[in-house]
Amino acid sequence: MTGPIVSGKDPRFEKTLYKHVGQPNSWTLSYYLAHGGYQAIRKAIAQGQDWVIEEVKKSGLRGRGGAGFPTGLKWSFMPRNTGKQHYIVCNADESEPGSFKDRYLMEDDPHQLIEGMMIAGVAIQASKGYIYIRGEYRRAYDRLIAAIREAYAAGYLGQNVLGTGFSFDLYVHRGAGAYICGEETALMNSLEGLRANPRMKPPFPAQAGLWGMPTTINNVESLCSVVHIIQRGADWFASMGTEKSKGHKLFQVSGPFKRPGVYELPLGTTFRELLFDWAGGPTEPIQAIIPGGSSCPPLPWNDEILDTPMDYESISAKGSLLGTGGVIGIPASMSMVDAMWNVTRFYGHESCGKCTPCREGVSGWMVSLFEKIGTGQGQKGDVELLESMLNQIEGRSFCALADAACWPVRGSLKHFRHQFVEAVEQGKPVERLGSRWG
Amino acid sequence: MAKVTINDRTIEVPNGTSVMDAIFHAGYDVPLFCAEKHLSPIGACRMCLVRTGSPRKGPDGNFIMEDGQPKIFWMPKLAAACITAVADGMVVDTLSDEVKHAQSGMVELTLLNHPLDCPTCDKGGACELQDRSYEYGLVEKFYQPDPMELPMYTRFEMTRRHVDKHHPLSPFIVLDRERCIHCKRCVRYFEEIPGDEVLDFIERGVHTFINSEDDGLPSNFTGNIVDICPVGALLDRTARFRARNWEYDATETTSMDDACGAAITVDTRSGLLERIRAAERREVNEVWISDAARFGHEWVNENRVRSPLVRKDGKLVETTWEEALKAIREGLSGVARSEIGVYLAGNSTLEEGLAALELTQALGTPHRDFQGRTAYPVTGFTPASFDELLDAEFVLILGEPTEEAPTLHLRLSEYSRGLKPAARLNHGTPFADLNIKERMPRLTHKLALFSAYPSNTAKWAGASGVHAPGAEAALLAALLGEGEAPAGLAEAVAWVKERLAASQRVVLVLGAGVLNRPGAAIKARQLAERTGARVMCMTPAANARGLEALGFFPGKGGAGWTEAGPKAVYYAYLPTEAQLRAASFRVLHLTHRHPLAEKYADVILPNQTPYEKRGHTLNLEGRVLPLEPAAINNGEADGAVAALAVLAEALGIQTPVRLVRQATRLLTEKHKLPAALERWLPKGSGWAASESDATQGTLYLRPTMWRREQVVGAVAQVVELKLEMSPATARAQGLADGYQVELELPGGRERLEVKTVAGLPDGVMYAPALGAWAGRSVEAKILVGGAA
Amino acid sequence: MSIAALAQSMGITLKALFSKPVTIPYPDAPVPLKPRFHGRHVLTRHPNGLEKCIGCSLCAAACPAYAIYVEAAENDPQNPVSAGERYARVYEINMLRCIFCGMCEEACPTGAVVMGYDFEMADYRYSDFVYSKEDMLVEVEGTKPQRREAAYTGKPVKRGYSLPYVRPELEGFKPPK
Repeated sequence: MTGPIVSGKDPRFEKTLYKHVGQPNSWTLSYYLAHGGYQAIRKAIAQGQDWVIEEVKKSGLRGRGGAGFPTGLKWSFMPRNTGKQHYIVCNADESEPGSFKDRYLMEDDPHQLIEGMMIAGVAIQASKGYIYIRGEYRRAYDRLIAAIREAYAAGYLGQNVLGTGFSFDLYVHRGAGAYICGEETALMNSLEGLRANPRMKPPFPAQAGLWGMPTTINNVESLCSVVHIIQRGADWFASMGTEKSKGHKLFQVSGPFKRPGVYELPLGTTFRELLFDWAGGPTEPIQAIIPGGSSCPPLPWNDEILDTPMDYESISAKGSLLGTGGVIGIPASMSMVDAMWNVTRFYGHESCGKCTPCREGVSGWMVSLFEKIGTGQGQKGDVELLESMLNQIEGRSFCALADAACWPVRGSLKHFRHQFVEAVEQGKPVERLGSRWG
Repeated sequence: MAKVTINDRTIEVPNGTSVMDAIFHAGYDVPLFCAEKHLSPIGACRMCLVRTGSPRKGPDGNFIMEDGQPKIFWMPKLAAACITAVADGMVVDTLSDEVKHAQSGMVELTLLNHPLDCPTCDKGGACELQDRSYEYGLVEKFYQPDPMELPMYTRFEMTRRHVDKHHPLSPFIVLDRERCIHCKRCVRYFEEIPGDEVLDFIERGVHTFINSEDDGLPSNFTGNIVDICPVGALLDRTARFRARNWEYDATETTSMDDACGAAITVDTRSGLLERIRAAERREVNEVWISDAARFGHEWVNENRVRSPLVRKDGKLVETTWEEALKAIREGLSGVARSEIGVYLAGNSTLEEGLAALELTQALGTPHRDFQGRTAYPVTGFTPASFDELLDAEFVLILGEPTEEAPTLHLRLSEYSRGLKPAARLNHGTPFADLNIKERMPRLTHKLALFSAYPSNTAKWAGASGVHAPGAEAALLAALLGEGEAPAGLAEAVAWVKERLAASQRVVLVLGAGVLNRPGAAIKARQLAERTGARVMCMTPAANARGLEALGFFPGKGGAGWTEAGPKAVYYAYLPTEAQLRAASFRVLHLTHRHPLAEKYADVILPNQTPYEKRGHTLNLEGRVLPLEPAAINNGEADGAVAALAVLAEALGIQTPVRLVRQATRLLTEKHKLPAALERWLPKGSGWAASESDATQGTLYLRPTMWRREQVVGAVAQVVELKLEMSPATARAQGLADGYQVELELPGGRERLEVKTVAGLPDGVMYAPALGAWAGRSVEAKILVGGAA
Repeated sequence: MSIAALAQSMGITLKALFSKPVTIPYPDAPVPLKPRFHGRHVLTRHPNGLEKCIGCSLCAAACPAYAIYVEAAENDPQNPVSAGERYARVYEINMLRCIFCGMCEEACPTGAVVMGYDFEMADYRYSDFVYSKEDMLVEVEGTKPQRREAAYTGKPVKRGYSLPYVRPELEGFKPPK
């Protein structure tokens, strides 16, 4: 076969990121070393900063945290030789509902992340790294701490790594349970011990980030991918995926499917392949899928969508986002009103309270309005009111959290408006998610 | 400079100006809640959303054109004007439907959970939310779909958020959490301006609320949050429900509570002083004032002397000024003119000083002085202005700015963040100065502080230390390289010496502790001369520099304000009992009645408080500041100019000053007093201070922001009257924590509670000075003591 | 002048002689007032007895004649005067200044000050025209001079008007019988 690899069934495709997940003792240093670990960092140190950035740029790796910003470009924004302390921060606060890929990377392959952070450290001249880990990931935290201790003991971390003159210190910080800490500036505030409110940009973190120093923040998966890009070369990575979305990605499937879970597939794989061939197909009729975690607009379940390749551009063209690649299936037996009510309640609870549209609009009004419609007290005009509220909130908030709360609702109103109208007209409480489990 | 087009007007503003200020500069309006002068812009309220765009250059290097004009590429999202910096060629639109919709939508969201209690809210009528809602809220286009329909007043038909109302944060400030719109001005204010982080947001989302820790608001600058709160969430408890905002008679004048001369607005109603707010005076206090200047006014209304009192048959009886004149004439007959003493209060105006000077010169008496004059003349130092302070490379403080000159502490906060005075735009101070950021690092290498009592300002100092009162001279000698540093300060002194040597523009800040010890003050002067430093003197008397500059201090052989001497005396304040007892005829010119006055005064004349005076004062920069009388009902009270005119008449002397305006004219013509807000730095002669004037004793009267008369009502709940000492000193004195003692202080007897503080120098007791005696040491006379 | 004209005018007189008079023998008979008459102000109460007035001073702000003076104070939560945080400690209307335009009633956010019906306020001293809260609360019948006279004679207050009905805004107001 020739051409780019856009299917997990392509014989040329092999699992890399998740290769060791589920293996016995895969989290230990000895296992990691036995499987070719800590080779990429030697190569990176030997080849130097410019080569690393160039290689990552060439690979076409885009940030896997959701926004899809090219990682190499992000690193090249970092100022050089400032004499200041530079920081690399790993955003491991995986709090998007429907997304659970980073957890297993950290639990079963912590050294891969450590190595990825060190490579990033080489690329941006950072000698200190922070992993901001979601507080609920207790096992991942324990394994990371153990792995960092092992790495220090073996000389992979600390002063003068492996005698190369490169120094790198790594710290792990546990979050206290806030979705907003996935926003990079709020994460930095939280890391500094302040209230987790997003900060003003500019200055961007590359100019003044953590404690005012140049900082770069990357997702766990991005950093892990870098290890393989350095090891196997940019061309290997770029051979997968579509023209603008290159490489492989961890897709997560949740909802009523036979085998929900995390699947490592090249970008450009179709929904159909992921959901039927890998996840085993639905166990009950599905009405909608959310392609990339709860903040993405849902798409209807039809052949057109199922045959859409999963890459940043194709999903955008369908009116949604690839996001974190967390595909959520919503069964037909469930009301979209309830699903969106649940999503809105989540975002309302997670709103940090800094800016007006998010605090009053999402956290206050939208939640109340969904409660009104969902409990069967909706009135004529409520759907229009909801829509006008979305117009009033979207694009006007300080950070993207309010937008993230608006997009799924807007997407549902686009494709499933009739369900909302019915809920209002019938005046009956919608069936609640909880009722499925009694 | 950047060229920016706002709607139809093209203006030029300095680079780095925010779009918000460019809009105001162009004369257009944009609504705002979270931005505030001198605070960091954060873009939280989203009220100031505007559409921005700019022309773009094509690949050929020329602007992409459309209809003969450069094509404007508009940003896809609306931008918050307060946190967006202008760029050359930027185009801003504040009038389109898209912008209006965003702004009215934001008003709607802000009002969702805001209670409708405007009629009972003290902010009503001066409320930014009211104004913005009125101007920007109900755009008919969006809320009245059909001209024949009724406008849609609300679309929010759910229960509002109900949380704590009238929650007292401190005796001065009450918080209404329902009214809070989460603009974060107060939180930012505390972090950025006084540096006391006592408030923060708790919880998140729609449940976010403001709270402090349990022990109130431990800061000397809490009141400013009342001024900056855009709604009625934070309100002045001392003025609670006194009047609506439009009912007050507002008078802008100068605070005489300290030597900084902060601008205040005095609000009165029906002849009563009800409230004081900060006024803007960019050169001095910007828009901030201390709590003493704001809340210390409750004493003004009560228990006033409203008409002259004359002692008849051993009793003081109310009478008229004519009768008082007669009584004074009788009392002064037979007293030699050189035996008459004239003593003014430390907060007297320049006009009063001139009147007193003219009178004493006509009398030929050396007995003249003002209360709170320091032992060393402050006119001996070249003063720095606040602008020069911000420009300094190094500032050395010997004293406690938070207590002695609170405004200076706030300006030092600006200095320690490396800020410079903001550009003056058409609308004045920028509302969103992008140079100011949240949590700016404090430049501690530019500041050092030594004081006889722990000072709050020390938190910004690269080196600081507490020394025993009286060790100032030794400390300064060490800084001059003439001796050993006092114990424990060697390292700090070495650092300061290094910094002084390396810095060009140095400012020295001297507290009353130094100025009252001539030995130390002489050394300070040497240090200033050697480093070329300008000096700010935090005098206990508000107008010390002005009165000294006029030459109003004791003549040769005259008795100073701390001594007894003259036979017949005029005091514009309440002196000590010993001084009263020593005189044979005493004219007291007082605002309030006092047992001591009842006992000794032969004539009491009704005096004006500084809020009722017209005139001028000089602050510690040497800046001329105006005083305007507020509409306070004080009966027949009059200032020292009138009282001294009566005295002159009783003595049959013609003085050139009988009226305040006469005095003002004389000051401008003869003494070349410049216009208000300019600086007056005449070559003062001063007096020769000798080291023997140094005060000695084991009781140090530490400077306090509050004066004795202010400690009533709410202030009394806040001010801690404690006798502090180290645990070892307490043991030596046989005292322990919580003991109640009564002390004989120069200003009268004071009941204090003993409090031991670890780290204070041994062998010294600290009592709050509460006024003119600040920075002096006296012998401790404990009258009553024992366990509480 | 002709006989005919004379007869015509006499006819009119004769007709008027036997018709019902339009004048009222006031003060012996009450004046029939319209329900929307603007008379002396009434300060109404809530059904639970608390004053409606919260001392917001909006009536004073709206008054074109500057006739109203309000001083507010904070309610004692144990023993409140009005519903809410504040009440009017002093509420005075100078009836000599008042032009009975009713703007105060328009401005009142709680419906506390309502134009009543009393109009017989003629008095002798200036100070007697300053009506305080005690003179205007809803349970007070009549004007100051009327009540003074009633106290002097020991008879009930005599109010010189009658009403077809009372406006509902005047909650708790008792019209003269």
